[in-house]
Amino acid sequence: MRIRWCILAGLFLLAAAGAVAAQFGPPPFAPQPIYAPGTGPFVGQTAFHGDGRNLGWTWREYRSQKGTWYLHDAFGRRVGAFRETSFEYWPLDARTNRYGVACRPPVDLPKLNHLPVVPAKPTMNFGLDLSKIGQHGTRYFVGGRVVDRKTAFEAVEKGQLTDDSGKLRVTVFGSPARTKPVADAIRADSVGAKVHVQQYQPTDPMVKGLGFATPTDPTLYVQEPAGKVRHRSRTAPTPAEAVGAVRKANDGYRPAADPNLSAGGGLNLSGLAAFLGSIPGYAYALAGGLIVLILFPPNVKAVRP
Amino acid sequence: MTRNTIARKALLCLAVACGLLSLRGHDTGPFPGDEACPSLGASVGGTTGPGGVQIQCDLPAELQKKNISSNGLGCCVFRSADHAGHWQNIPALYGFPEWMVANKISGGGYPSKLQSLTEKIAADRGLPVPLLVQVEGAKDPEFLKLAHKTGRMTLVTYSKSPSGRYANSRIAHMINLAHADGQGCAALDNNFVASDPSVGPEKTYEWMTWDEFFKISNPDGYWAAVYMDPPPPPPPVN
Repeated sequence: MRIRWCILAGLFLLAAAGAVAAQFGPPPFAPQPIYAPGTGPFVGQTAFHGDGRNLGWTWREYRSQKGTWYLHDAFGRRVGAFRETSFEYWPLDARTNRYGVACRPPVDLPKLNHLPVVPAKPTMNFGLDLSKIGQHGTRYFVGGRVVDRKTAFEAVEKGQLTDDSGKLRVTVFGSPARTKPVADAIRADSVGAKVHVQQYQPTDPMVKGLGFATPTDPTLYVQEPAGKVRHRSRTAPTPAEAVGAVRKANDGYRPAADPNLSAGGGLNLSGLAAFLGSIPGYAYALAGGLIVLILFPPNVKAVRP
Repeated sequence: MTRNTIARKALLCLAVACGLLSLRGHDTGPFPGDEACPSLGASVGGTTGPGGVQIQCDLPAELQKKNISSNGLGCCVFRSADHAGHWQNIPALYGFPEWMVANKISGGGYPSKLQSLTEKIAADRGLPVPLLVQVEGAKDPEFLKLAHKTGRMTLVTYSKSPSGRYANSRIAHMINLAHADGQGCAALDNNFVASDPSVGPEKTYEWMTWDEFFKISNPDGYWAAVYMDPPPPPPPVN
């Protein structure tokens, strides 16, 4: 019985040592073998599918072939290769064991350590003065004035290029002579800073055919960012009437309360599935063997002295 | 358990282990060489991108115009500003390259020239000067993503096509981004506009990932600009 246990323990130790060696290479004190390109120890990265799912696929950059990443599926089978220098991915045809035509990989690219080599001089110039671009590192400009990143993003956040995606959209349709007083009145009012205001002729290519009803000149629309109409004037509003309508539409509007029909409901098991998929196959084999031993232990007979 | 039984079970375990190891991929084929072949990661298409995403800035085809030159120098920067002007209803910017030709202003753009000519064209037309925010030498997409989240259209440099346009050559160009989100972006190149019959609406937009945008199109960082005028209204729904 001791021999049986020793053999089983030895087999598990061999399997574990082999998995460790495959991942990290032989220990420093051991003779270092020479590996063919694309074999031997490697650095791995999880390969996420485009929608963020982790299905157990991995990218591997072998020490024997830096700058080339091999894509392996959840079973460890090689399915393609990506080369950093040319930034191209080639699928591996399992039947012929040859690489096919370069194409988009089925997963996100690995995080790269090396930048691709690119030629410095362009062969065609369509309108950039390269002597005056990119000479000063990263710079930000607001209205032609150089500012630092913090200032630029504060300007961005405080009402210039801000995250104003939550503001109501006010549109005045009609002839320029009639829309301008209405739009100007809205902009001049305090509510003007809280909404986006635009004015168009109904025949403008940017708005014709989108479904706006513009029977009067002017016609006032107030919409939520996703398009839901909160107000449409039925008669041509005066500037004061337009301002009143916009204020009423904007009062009590809370962008955070907008329904999000794309959010899923119910129990979300995608995280659990991703975790299970990230566990390599040999770990399942070792765990299965241990479970078998626990459930079906070998018969232990008492030994009489 | 007899020794033979133990030996048989050990051999069975070894056989199973060998079988599992054989599932690992073993590549023996020749690896593609370094010959220049076009990267086919990005794709050229219409307003629907990979995964069914709808383009954010669907500029009507009749408003998309090709790049021209003024005094022998290209006006890609100013055509891109023209497109952004139409998208955001900024009449001061309409026909920017044609105004430059009419006023004998040479093409070739850079950040301070875009600012000064924006002020000049607006003053010339008696219209308000649109506020312009620019970044030069940026190496992350946050500026572009924020601009597009707010519904605006950006202008951005572009030095190589990830889908193989321009015979895979390196170029000096400015285009518009018609889409920018967490997954990637879509380029509206003023050399490949929908109003051009040889291009058409189904081959206008070049969809790419951010990796491709940075590693291929802007390996040294990008210059981008965005006008602060409001975005257009969305289609109405009840």
